[in-house]
Amino acid sequence: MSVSTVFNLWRPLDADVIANPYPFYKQLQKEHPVYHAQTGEWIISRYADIKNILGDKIRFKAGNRLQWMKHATSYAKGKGLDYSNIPKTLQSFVLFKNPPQHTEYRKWIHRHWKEHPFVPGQISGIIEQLLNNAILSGFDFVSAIAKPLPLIAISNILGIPLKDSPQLKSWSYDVIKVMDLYLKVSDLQRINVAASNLLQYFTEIAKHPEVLDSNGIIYKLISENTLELTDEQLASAFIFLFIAGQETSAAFLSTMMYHLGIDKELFNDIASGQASLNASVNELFRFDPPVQLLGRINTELVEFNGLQILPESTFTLCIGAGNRDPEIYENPEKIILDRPQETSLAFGYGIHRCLGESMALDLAKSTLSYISSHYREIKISNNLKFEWEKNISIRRLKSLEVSLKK
Amino acid sequence: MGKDNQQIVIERYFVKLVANEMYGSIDEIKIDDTFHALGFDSISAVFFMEKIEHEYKVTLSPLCFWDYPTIRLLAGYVQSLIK
Ligand code: HEM
Repeated sequence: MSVSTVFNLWRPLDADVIANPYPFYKQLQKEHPVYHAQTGEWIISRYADIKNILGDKIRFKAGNRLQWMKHATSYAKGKGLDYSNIPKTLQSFVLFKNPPQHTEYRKWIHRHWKEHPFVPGQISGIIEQLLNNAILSGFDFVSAIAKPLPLIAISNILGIPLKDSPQLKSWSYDVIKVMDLYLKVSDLQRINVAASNLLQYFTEIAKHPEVLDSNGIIYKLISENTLELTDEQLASAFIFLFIAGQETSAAFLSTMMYHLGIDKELFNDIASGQASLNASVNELFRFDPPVQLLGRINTELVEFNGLQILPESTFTLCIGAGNRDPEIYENPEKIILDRPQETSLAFGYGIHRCLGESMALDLAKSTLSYISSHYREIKISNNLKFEWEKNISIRRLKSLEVSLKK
Repeated sequence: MGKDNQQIVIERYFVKLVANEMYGSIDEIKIDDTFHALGFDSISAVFFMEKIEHEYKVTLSPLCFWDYPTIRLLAGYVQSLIK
């Protein structure tokens, strides 16, 4: 078969798409809402299709990244490379489980999660402290606030000693890269090293829970190991709880700040209480969601848009596209704070829907409320040059230079 | 070396890599076959691309493998990156 270079519509790594994926999504959604990409994946961009897939636990299963990593590891082994820490680290991620196991994992975690008294006041205290440390006339919001805030909050709720968190943080940001769709050998190497470190740390914790805060969730999960997980499996489950909310929350806090900084009117509307904090934050999650792509695999032949799709195909769901589907949202390209909300897809849908959603919303609302009540103006001094991480699964600014004015 | 010659040299190197990868004989590998038809998948692609980056000291986006899906096309692209 002879092939000539054709223009591929699926080009998520192009610089213009990394900078702003929304025009790209819009074109996909309009012209090919179910698109068979050159990579073999099926790209889904309509709200209704995404919701149908996420809500269908019979015909669609999660765990495609784990499956890929397992295959990649055994392939690498044949070449004399050892990445075995990656699948070990991912083995008990609740996100990669399917029913009936998923139900048991989720129940085990959720019981302790929902009982944890999480006080938004605590978050304001942390924000205040972090802002006091920052030089208000020009600081990097990403490294000063957006990254440490979720790190501290999650360490607290899990009961991990805060002194350990800085080293755990950098490993977390490396391991979460497993969610990225297109990796290179150098990425696998880096992920494997970080995975090995995290696995070692959390396995020690599983063996010696006495070093933990006994009010924290990890201590309770170890005490009530109803699934009879091994120390290594416990470690893997905890690693996911530790990393799931970090880059995602850091990404959202930075993106939120970016929108408030570039759109003065938006900031004033929020500061003057024109819409509730809840509605405002939800609308920003819809408008520019941090998690951009989710993956599923179909267990049987399915039909979408008149196309028959063979079993075991990979589906890539574009959350950022679904959240701006004009079939669902009027004027989707506009931020309308008090928009009558059809729940957006920012936190997923169905059995895997984000377990940390209320915590993520609390972090966002507390930050927004603190900043809008303490400062009159947010100035961004990036000279309009914004660099986004090349990770296409989580959309995050590399840095955001801001000045806050009282 | 002329442009066309250089491309042929790159193609030959790719053919060797593919033969190695698939334990096949060099004669059976057609430079206009798709990598998919030659037996590659998303995992072998990652390691194949690394060999090319290393050999030619270029940086390739992981999607190049799919955007230039034959030996001839990918060799042409890699050649365009070599100064
Ligand atoms: C801005 C912040 C966050 C966003 C945008 C976000 C988004 C998501 C999304 C889209 C999913 C579904 C994934 C899928 O279906 O494939 C998910 C799952 C999950 N999230 Fe979050 N998340 C955030 C913060 C957090 C936090 C703070 C935590 C907890 C510390 C957390 C814990 C989880 C867990 C445990 C799951 C898996 C649930 C399951 O598989 O049953 N997330 N999240």
